[in-house]
Amino acid sequence: MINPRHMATEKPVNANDEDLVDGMKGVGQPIEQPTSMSYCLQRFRLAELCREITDSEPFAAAGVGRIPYEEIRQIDSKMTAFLSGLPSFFSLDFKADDLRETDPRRSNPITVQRYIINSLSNAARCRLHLPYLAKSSKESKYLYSRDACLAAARMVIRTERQLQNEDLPFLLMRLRSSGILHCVCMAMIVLLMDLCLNRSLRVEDDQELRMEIFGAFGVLEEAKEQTPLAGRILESFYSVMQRYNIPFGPSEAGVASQTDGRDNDNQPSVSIQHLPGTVPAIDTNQVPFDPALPSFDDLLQEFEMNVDPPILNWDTIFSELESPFISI
Amino acid sequence: MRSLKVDVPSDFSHSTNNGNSQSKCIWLPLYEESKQIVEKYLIDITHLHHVIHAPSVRALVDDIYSKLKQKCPLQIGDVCLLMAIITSTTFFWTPRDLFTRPLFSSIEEASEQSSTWLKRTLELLEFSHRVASKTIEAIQATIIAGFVICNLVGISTEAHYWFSSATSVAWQLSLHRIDHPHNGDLNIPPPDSIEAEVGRRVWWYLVGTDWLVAPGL
Repeated sequence: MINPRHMATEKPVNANDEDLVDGMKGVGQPIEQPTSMSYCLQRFRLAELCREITDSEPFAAAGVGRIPYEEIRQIDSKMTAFLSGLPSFFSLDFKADDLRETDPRRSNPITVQRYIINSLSNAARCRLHLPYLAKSSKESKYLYSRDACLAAARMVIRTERQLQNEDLPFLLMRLRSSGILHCVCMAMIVLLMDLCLNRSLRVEDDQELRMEIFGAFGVLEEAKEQTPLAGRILESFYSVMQRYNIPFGPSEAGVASQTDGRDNDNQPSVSIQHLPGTVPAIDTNQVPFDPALPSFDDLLQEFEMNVDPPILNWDTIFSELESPFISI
Repeated sequence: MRSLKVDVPSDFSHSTNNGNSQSKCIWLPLYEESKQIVEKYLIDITHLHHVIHAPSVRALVDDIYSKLKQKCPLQIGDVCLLMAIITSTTFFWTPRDLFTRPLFSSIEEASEQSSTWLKRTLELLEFSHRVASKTIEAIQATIIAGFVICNLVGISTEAHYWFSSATSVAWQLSLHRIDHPHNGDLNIPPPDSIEAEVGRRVWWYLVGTDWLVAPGL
C-alpha cells in the first residue's frame, strides 16, 4: 500500500473544472457545495477509512475472532459516521424535486454519484459484518452485526431501486459497471445467508426478506442483457442454491404483492418469468432449515468452482468481495 | 447511421526488444467524431472517476488534430488519452446515444469498437510506460482504460497490473510530492497551476484505489 507518510501532495480542492486557473488562490469551495470533485473527495475519505482499518489489523483475513469484536464495532461506528457525514446532497433522502432545474445538486453527475457513494459504502459495511452474520443466531453478541449487515444490504437494494426511478443516461449503462453489480451481489449474499442461517431469529419478516432477495435477482437478470459478468454471477448463485436446495422463490401471492408494491409499475425489473424453472418456488411456511447449510466460504468456493476460467477471471470478483471496500 | 470512420494516420517509431525499429500506424477517428465522443465522455462518464480537467482535454483533442494536419510529431501520452476516452465511451454507449450521436448503428457495433480500442490503447500504453517519455496524460489514459477492464472482468490481475503501472509512472513524475516545500530541482509544475491540481486529482485517485482494494479484513 502507498504509505501516507511518503507523500506530500494535498488532496485536490473541491472545485469545478472551469474554476481552475493558473495562479489560482482559494478556489476550493465548502464540501456542501457540489462540484465535479464532490464524489472523488468522498471516495478519498472512504479510502482513508479503509487504510485505517487495514493499518489497525494488517494481515487479518476476515476470520471471526481474529480482530477483537469491539474493534469491529468501533470501525462500524466510523463507517456510519462517514455515511451520515456525507454532504446532504449525497443523502438518499435528499429531496431534489423542490430545487430549481439548474441547481447543481440535481444535476445528473451529482445524482449518479449519490447512488454510487451510497452503494459502495453500504456494500463495504456489509463486508465488514458478514463474517459475524452467520454466527449471530448462536452468539447474541453478534446480533449487532446482523442488524448492521441487514440494514446495509437493504440500503444497497433501496439505492438500486431508487436509481431505477431516475431519468438518467447512467441508468442505461449502470449495469455494465461492475462496481454496481458487486454491491448488489454483496447485498444478495447477506440476505441469502440470513434467510438460510438465521431462521430462528426472524419473526415475521421472512416474506419481506424473500422479496428483497427476489428484487436483487431481478437486477442481475436485467444486467445479464448487458454484461456477461452478470450472467456468470447469476449462474453461480443459482447453481449454489440448487445444490444446497436453498429456497428463495416467493410464492405466487408474494410475487403479486411485490409487483403491486413496486415504486415504478411501468418498469418492473423483476419478473417471475426471468427466474429459471430449475429452482422451485417454495412454500414459505415449509422452508427446510438445514443446519449444514453452506457458510459464506462454501458459497464462495462453490462460485469459484462453477466458473469457467477462460470466460471470466473469477478470482477477481471474489478477491474484490474479500476487500473491505469495492471501488475503482 | 454509419460506423466510426477512420481517417488520419499517425506514425510512431516503435523500438522492439532486439533494438530494431519498426513503425506502427494508428488510425484515429475523424476530428468531428472524436469531438462527439469526447463530449459524451465529459458529460456522462468522467464523473465516475474524475481524473481529468475537461477544458484541457478539449484543448488536447484540438491540438492532436491540428498537429496531424500540420504533420507535426505527437506526444504518445496525448494519443493514449484520446484512445482511452474513445474506449470508455464506446464501452458505455447507450441506446439513447444511437439517436443523439449517430456514430454507430447498434450497441453491439459500439461494443465491438470498444474492444478493439481497448486492445490498441493498452498496446500503446505498454509502449508509453516502458519506452516513451512519461506524461500525466498517459497515467490518465491508464486509469480510464483500467476502469473499462474492471467493468469487463472485475478487479482482475490485469487491472491490478495497469493500476500499478500507472502508480509507478506517477512516482516517476513526482506526483506524490507536488506540495513538498523543497521541489526546486524537480520538474514539478507550480503548486497553484492547473497542471498541479490535475496532478493531485490523478495522484489521489491512485492512492484511493490502492487503499480501497487493499485486502486486510
